[in-house]
Amino acid sequence: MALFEAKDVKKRFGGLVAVNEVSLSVDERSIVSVIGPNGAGKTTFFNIVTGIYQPDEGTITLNGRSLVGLRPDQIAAFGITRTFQNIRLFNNMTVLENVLVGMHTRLNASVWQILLHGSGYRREERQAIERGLDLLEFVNLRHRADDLARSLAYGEQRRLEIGRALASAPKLILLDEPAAGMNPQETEDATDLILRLRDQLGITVVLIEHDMSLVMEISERIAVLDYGRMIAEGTPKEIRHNPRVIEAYLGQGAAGTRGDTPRGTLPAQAAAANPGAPTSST
Amino acid sequence: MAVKAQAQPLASRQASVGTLRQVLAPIGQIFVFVVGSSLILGAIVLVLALLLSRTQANLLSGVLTVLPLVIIDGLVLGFLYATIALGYTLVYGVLEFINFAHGEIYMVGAFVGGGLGLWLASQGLLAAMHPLLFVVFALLVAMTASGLLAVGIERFAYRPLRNAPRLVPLISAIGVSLVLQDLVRLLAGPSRFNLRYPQLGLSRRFQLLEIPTAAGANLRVAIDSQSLIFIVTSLLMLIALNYLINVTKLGKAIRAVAQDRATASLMGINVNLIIAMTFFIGGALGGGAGVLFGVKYSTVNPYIGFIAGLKAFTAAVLGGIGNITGAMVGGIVLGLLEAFVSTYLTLFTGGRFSGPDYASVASFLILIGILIFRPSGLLGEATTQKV
Amino acid sequence: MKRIASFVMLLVLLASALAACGAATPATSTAPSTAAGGTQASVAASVAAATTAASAAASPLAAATTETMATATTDTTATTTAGTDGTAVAGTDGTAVAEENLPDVSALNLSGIRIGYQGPLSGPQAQFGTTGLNGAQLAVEQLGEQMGFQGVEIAQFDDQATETVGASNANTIAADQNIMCVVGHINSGVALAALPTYRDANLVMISPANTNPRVTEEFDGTAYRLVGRDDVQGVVAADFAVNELQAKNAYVLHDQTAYGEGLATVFRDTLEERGVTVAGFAGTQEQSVFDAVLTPIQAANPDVIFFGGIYSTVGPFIQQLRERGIEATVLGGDGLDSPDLTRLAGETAVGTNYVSVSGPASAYPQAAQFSEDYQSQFNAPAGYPAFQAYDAAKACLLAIANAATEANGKPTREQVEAAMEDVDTFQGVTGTVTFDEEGDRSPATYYVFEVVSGDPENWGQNTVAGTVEAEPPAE
Repeated sequence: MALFEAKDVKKRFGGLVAVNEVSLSVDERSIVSVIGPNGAGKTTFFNIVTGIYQPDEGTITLNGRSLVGLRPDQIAAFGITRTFQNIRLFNNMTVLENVLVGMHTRLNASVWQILLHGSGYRREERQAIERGLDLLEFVNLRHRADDLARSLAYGEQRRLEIGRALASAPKLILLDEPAAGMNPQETEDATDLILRLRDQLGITVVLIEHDMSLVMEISERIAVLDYGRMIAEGTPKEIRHNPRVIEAYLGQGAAGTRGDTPRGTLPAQAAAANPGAPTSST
Repeated sequence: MAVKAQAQPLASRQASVGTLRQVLAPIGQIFVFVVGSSLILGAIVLVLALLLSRTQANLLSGVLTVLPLVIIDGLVLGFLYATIALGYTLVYGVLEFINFAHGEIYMVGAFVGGGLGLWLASQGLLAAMHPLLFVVFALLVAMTASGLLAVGIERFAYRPLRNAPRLVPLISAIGVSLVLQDLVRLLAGPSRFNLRYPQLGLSRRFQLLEIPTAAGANLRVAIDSQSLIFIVTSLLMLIALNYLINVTKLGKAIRAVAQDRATASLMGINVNLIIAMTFFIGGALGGGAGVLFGVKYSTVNPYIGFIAGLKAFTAAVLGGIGNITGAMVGGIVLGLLEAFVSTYLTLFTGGRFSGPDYASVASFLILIGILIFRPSGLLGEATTQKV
Repeated sequence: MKRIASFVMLLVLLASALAACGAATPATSTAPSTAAGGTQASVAASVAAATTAASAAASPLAAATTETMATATTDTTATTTAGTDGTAVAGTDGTAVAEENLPDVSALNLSGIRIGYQGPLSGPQAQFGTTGLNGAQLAVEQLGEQMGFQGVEIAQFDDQATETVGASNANTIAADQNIMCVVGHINSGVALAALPTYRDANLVMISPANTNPRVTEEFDGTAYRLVGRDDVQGVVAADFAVNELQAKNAYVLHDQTAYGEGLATVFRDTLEERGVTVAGFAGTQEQSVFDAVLTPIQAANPDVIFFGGIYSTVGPFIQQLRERGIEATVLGGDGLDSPDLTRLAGETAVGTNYVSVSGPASAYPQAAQFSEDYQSQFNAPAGYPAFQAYDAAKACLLAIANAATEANGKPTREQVEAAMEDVDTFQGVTGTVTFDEEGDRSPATYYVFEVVSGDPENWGQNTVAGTVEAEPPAE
């Protein structure tokens, strides 16, 4: 059974249908990418899944449990966390504190224990700190544990976001453009990290990305959105040659040879391009 | 609140030292401001006295004589404002919302403590109790009551308006404030409009200085134990709050909600619960201040919250709204300022201007000045620093 | 630079605003009464004229139930009257009031007549206001029936001791055509705010407690009072301070109301005439935190502190005063005459002296029945201003009855006003009541009390340190 199932999800904002009957099925321990031109509704879809918006129609389930109507913190407790297109860290807290905040749902001390600071609570706090440090180790930020989040370099901040998202031991993690604004070396490190998420931690990953080389390299399946609709879904090979996908990126009738199009990099082109070529970001 | 980060790795022993330092650092800041403000204000007053002593004989000696008393007055008043200001600044830091009903929550705390005293006296239990035990008991009960009241207010008067334009919950807060004033007035009844706290026999005075005066007898500068209780308890509250916000999991959650509510929610934090807890803590601090007021000044009435709340809010802004230590610093500076103006204005104008009348004017002028010249406050930073 | 400029401009604006208003007066106070200073000489004259004997002997105060207070001066004095132990004070008959001839209007079938009452029924001074209301209530019930009215009732209004509220209520009262007369107010400042409305409506106002001279001086024909005036009360207090308390150095405070400030001003002026140093004169609206006021007092180290104010303010003040270790004697006016003073100040109130325009229950032998009825109906001992309110209501009823008799039916307000002028003397629970042309009670009696117990229940046991009877000062 798929870990995560979205069926016919629809979301309207006034007259605009941002997400139009999108269905997505994600198997456990897999990496799925959601791609599409700018404005296709990918981030909106993530927002719906994590509970920021409520879908107008459709079902969303995680391990068979429906997520529709739940608050974001409840969905996080069920095991879905995310990162953001534009990084949203808690800038005035340290790196370690950011991770500890993410652990919030996994800490069991009741309000009274917190206020009275019993020994059970203190032990839990100690364990939490250790776990937090381990997570930072995993994303290679342990040496920065006590620095303020806003003092980190861009790439480090992205890694911290992932670390924070891992803190609650999620089953499914949604990464929104994890490689945005990265140079090739950083992109490679990011790719490596995502693979380790699946291989070492057993977490299912769904990512939104514009960097096609990254997408093609690690995705097991790819879903393509355009104008809110899912226009294609399949293996990377299938998607690469899907005429509808090409059309979506290039517009009708155009068969461009340039790597970059007005609506983003063609998957085929990107796959063919050498790894050294700069990729387009948002 | 900025958490001062160390560069070394986090070993557990260093953690406790670092935590200790972090939690106690505000005491140092407060001490600096107490001493500094007293010195500055004292110097201003002395210079004025020197300048004016050509027209008024004995002015300089009069000024010096009263100076220690005025400083003590100012400190006590200052700590009163500071403790109330803590509640304002905490809620503002998290919600960017000024809870104008906070002054009334403080007043309710005062009445709960007083009512408890009356009830204990009627049951004959008060006499058997050690006075400090009563104070602690009253603090606990009043803080709980005020905290719950604050949570209730948030739930029914503010939460439904969370997405409304900023002005709307503000007006709701003012409405709650008025309702509470009259509700307490109604419940207390005309006979208990002025509610008297039980006399605990705590009035031991600790003599600090003896100053010879022009009037003949020596002026004894002393501080009474109620004022000491006041100051010590306020400092304890500050330390506890600091610890809560910076070290505990709840504190981290509060800070996360303060910085980015939506993201905090996505990280699994129940935002509504955290906001409720913030109001509980802020309300409890206000209620505690109310009991301390009653113990020190012995009579409370339903209108003590209004002006005190306004002044405490001024203090919070003065210190940098959203900054916890700033609230205390602002309160103390404001209290000292008011005490100096109250006494010295009368002295310098030979009684033509009554100092106590103008003390409030001075406070609010300072507020305006701060907002013009340094809107972030004494301890605030240029960008709004959130809790 | 711009910011500094705007701030400086703000300061300049403020300074000029302050200069324009002079010393800023908060909304609830009025300009200090100037009548006090100007009539010092006339006080002396009229007081001297009313004396039966001016004794030059000074007798020390003992701790017995009543004392004699002798004042020895050549220029102005208040008279002394020897008080016997607890019974009638000179100036009354000394006998219980006989059943006088009350007018009988039963033949006129007067119904629906109302008497307005304004006083603080809620808030810190509620004790005063409700006590007065009770007294008036009792009068209307008992006397209304005796006089043959078909149901007179009190229309009560809570003025919250606030000018604006009192004035607003006055409008309501004036609009109710059934109200023929007003008993009230308790606070002089509030009365002054409401009186213009009463005067325009031809409503007579009879106060059981207003002591500020302006109330009758400025509203001739409209305002009457059952009690003395501050321009005598202040002198009495000052004399007491000088002669009995042996004060060399006094500090004077007031609560910035017309009453408090007026009384304090008289006190201060009299003291200065007597050659006593007045170390300070300050006003405060503070109700709970008196630190700012107490520090200068502590530095000045006075013998006596006079506070022109109401018990709700002075009670906490005394408590905090004693907590600071200041030992000066506290002196005040009739605003302190309430058991709530000890409720608020507890043991620290013991030893406080106050002048009152109302005597102890023992001073009103005619009030024995009244006191009994009051106690059984309201479950509390009768006190100030209940006696006076009873008599005020009685005066109202007399005027209405006389006017009705003359008009042979329900009278108009103008007729009641005219009839009131003709009410010369009657017997009340406070003794023989006589109004002079101004509307002042003439003569009026002033008592100096000392608080003996920290228990509010024992308020009635406060000792009388002296009594003065005086005509109100001539204009």
